[in-house]
Amino acid sequence: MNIFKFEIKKILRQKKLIWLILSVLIWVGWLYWGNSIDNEQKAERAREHVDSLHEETNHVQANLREIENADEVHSLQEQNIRDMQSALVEWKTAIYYEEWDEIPLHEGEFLNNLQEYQNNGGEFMILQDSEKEIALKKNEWLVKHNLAYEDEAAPVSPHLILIDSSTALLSFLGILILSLLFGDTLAREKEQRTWLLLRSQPIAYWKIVSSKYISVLLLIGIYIGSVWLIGVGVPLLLGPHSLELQYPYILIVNETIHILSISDYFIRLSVVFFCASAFTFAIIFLVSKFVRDSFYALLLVGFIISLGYLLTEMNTFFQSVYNPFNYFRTADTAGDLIHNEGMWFYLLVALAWYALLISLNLLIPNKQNPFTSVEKKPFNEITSKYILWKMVNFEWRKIKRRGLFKQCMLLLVVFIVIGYTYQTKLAEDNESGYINLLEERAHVLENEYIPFTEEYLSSMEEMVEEMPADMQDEYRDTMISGEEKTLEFYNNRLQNINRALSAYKKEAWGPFIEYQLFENRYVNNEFDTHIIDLTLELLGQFTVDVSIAEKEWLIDNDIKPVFSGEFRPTIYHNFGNQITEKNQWLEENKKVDNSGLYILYSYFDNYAYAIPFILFLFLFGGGLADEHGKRKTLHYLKTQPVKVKDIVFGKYLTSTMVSIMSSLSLFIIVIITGGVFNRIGDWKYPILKYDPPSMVNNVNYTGMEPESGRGFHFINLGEYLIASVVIYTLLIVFFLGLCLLLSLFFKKKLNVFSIAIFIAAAGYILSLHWFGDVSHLSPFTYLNIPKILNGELPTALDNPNFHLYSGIIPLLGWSLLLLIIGYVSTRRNR
Amino acid sequence: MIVSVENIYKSYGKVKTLKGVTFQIKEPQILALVGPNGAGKSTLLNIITNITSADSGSVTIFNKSNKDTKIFREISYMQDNSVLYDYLTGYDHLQFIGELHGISKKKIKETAELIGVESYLNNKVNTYSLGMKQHLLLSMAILNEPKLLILDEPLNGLDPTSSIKTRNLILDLYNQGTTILLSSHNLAEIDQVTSNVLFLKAGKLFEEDIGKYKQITYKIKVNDSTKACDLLKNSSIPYLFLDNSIMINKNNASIHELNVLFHRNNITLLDIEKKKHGTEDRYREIFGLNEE
Repeated sequence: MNIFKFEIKKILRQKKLIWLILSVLIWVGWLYWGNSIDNEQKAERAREHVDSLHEETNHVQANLREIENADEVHSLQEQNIRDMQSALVEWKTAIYYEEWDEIPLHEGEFLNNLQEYQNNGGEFMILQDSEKEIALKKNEWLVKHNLAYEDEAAPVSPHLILIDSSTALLSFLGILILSLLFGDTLAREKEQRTWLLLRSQPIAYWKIVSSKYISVLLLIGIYIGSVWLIGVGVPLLLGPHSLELQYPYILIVNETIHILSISDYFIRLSVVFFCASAFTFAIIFLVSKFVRDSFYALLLVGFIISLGYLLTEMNTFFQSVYNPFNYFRTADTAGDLIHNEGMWFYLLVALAWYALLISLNLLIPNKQNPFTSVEKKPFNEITSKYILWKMVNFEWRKIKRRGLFKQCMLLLVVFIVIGYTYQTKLAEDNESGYINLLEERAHVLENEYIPFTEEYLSSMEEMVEEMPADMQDEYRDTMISGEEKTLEFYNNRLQNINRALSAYKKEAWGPFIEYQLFENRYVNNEFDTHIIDLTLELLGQFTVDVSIAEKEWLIDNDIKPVFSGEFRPTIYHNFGNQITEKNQWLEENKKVDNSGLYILYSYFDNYAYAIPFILFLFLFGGGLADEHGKRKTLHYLKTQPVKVKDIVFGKYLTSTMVSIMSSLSLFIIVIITGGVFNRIGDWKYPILKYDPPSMVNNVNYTGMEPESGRGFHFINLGEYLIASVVIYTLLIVFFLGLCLLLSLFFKKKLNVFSIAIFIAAAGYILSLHWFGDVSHLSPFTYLNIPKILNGELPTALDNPNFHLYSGIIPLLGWSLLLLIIGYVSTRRNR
Repeated sequence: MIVSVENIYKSYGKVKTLKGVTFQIKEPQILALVGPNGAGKSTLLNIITNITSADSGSVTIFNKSNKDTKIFREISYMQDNSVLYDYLTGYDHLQFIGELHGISKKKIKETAELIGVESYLNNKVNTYSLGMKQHLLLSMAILNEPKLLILDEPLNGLDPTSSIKTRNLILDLYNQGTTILLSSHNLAEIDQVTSNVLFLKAGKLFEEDIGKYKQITYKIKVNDSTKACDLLKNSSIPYLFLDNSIMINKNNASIHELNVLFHRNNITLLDIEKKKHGTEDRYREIFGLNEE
């Protein structure tokens, strides 16, 4: 028991606990602050939603009124529509007077009338199937528990902030924070040899190890508790909001909609997170037994978990309660725990795994790593007279000897290969899925649509023959010719599909893309088909025009398309509240490819560049802080004929050169991997770039403008990648400079790193929210490489000063400034 | 002037570690710095070498400010083993110093052989024992043949053979003209190499020539110490009363003379011991420690 108390005391005495709680506070505070600003548009958003419903009811009403010889059913439908409109008026009035607790009642009335309308055979386009079901269930819950309407887009109430913040904090992010702060507990004890103090006491080895494991469980509990307290506490303290733990949370599990209270969901999420964290620490402690360096141990564990997670994601067989890697799919697993019995079983299995790993730790004997050779070959001598160059070499030698860099690079390469394998599977599934879809379309056209239309035409012809002669022409012109156009379109479509399938087999991409262009043009209503298709309304003119322009580009440049889907998703969809339809469409049109250049593009587009970026920052960004701590190596350096500035700049030059060369090597490996297993890719593949409104409205604008104020153009994939790599490289230069400068003032590496991350996050937020007009001059803006290069950010900020290489000058300029400040600081204080 | 330390004050929070420490080294010598744990010895050495800055006061080395990094071409400072990079080899450390000072590989090898580290030089420091690390630190310190060598606990963790070798090396270096400032807890070893000792007590420095103490002394116990001391005073025999014993230099009186004197005055000699007096005794005196 004493050893356990000792472990608890160690945890409580560490400042890291403060950092842990502070990180939760910062996250929740930032979330609350952002939402408070957005929450001012609460009424507007509520009104927009009601307006869209109102518009649809008006549209339906107008259609109903046009029906000649309306029957009883139509009369009922009209009545339903009137009732719905009446409920909407009440709803809008409640919004106007901010009577938020009244809204669920009016919404309920509307939904009930809608249900009746649909039961009477009516169609209501914007609220169908699963969406309607969700709305009904949620409304029922709100009314039953006497809960008011809340703006879930920018929530500020304690219960919603709790769920929003815990979705992030009780997931991979939370595990990462806990691991970074406390994962090195055991490894550090061994590094600093304080472990020997424990081993030389009259305490059984298993008690020492177990106490560490148990204290970690307590830590996880403290973390979850702080997420709860702070998540609820911040809004309660800062706003006039009350806590409603019964507020509904919607879960869709196996296509079944479940509603549970927020408190219930939070408990489930906490349980899953607890299981995942406990398992993570169990692996960390086990790995620390064999790996001396704490940082490498964490990295290795990250690799193991990522691998386990990927395999679990890719294969439903592994998505079972017995697979501990399933815990890392926190939201999905929390969903699986709908029933209380499941929750406790998960906990039991997690604890069983925990106990198993503790046992392994105890049973496996401590042995020196047999792969570590003791003797090291001396480095070649450096004969340069320049002290700075000597320091650079010394730093490089330190990096090599430490071995950490080599291990990390190896891990990253393995990550790339595994990521490539995963991407390849996705790409292949995508491609085969799309081809199957085309074949199915062809089949349906050939066996259903065309025969049906032909039959229908034939019956119409027969009917016309029986009509009076003076009516025949009119009927032919209105109805038959329309159906003939439809039939012609179907035949055309079928031909195009068959041509595309044939071209696909021969890898002749021209005809294949022409089919996709055909589909784009159809949605764009360029064909007179006599078919009512509302896809254009949903996708928006912008998306359709982009898709058309993209196909034209692909044909002109003879480029293989990236599967799947005919459309190019953009930020200007019009799906509105039709979340299910939107997600389905996005899934159908998700582009995945495993050619070298495209994989690298995905790497940037999906922010995977953050992994080596943060890793190199952590490995090499310690600066002078690396020379502090228990090892006073800075004292050794200070007693040599070397100025502090040479030490500092030697570190900076080495760290930037190594980070940049390593990153470039990784990028090349990504391309080569794709090249070896598939192909290098198309340099000229079109990457969509949004243009800001002020640029679009300029008289000299040369891009395409499908909608007023919204423009775009394409850039080559190759140019995009070059720009990405350039900005990435300059970000490394800047942030390593920032870390180095911070290390002149902060002795602990963790502090340097944390403050650098904080400055980066704060700088980014400030650049976007407060300095929009000059955000192109801020180095932090460029952290979001893909959104800068594809124009999304410049468009959102309406800042036309961003272009492909606009980041070069501010990043270089700010880096230089940091170096000057660093130089002056080192000169003033040896 | 080799080293001049003027009026150094240093505090850590409310604790005043050094209070006006002043001393000079005018000519090549071996100077020992002695004091209890926490007295500020390492702090003083760190201030002299500008690793730590003093609150006030100044230090010059070879008539240059200690803030001038060029002085490290002429001085070396052997610190404790926490300054070593665990993941570098011993040779990496020597090579770094060698490259900074333009010292050849051959010289590095010779120095390593002199100290006796060559057999494990290509192993990483984290595989070294405490003694091996001390050897490495010593090699690093003497590699550039400094004019001033500052050693912080050079004998820490060394076996008897290594201690003797290190002691001899220190004497050799001194004979070659190197000034040596060393701090140590091993007072007997200090006696072997120098008689110039700086005692650091309560933040203040006492400079002593222990030479006058390094003589054979009689340690006498009598039944009436007060009467005996008065007697010796009246007889003009110099003595030192320490730990309930009377210490008399053998040159000042013989055993026979003392015996006679005490007997005549009815003082009984309880015990007499011949003792070689040295730094430890002076240390005890200064720091008020009783002999057990």
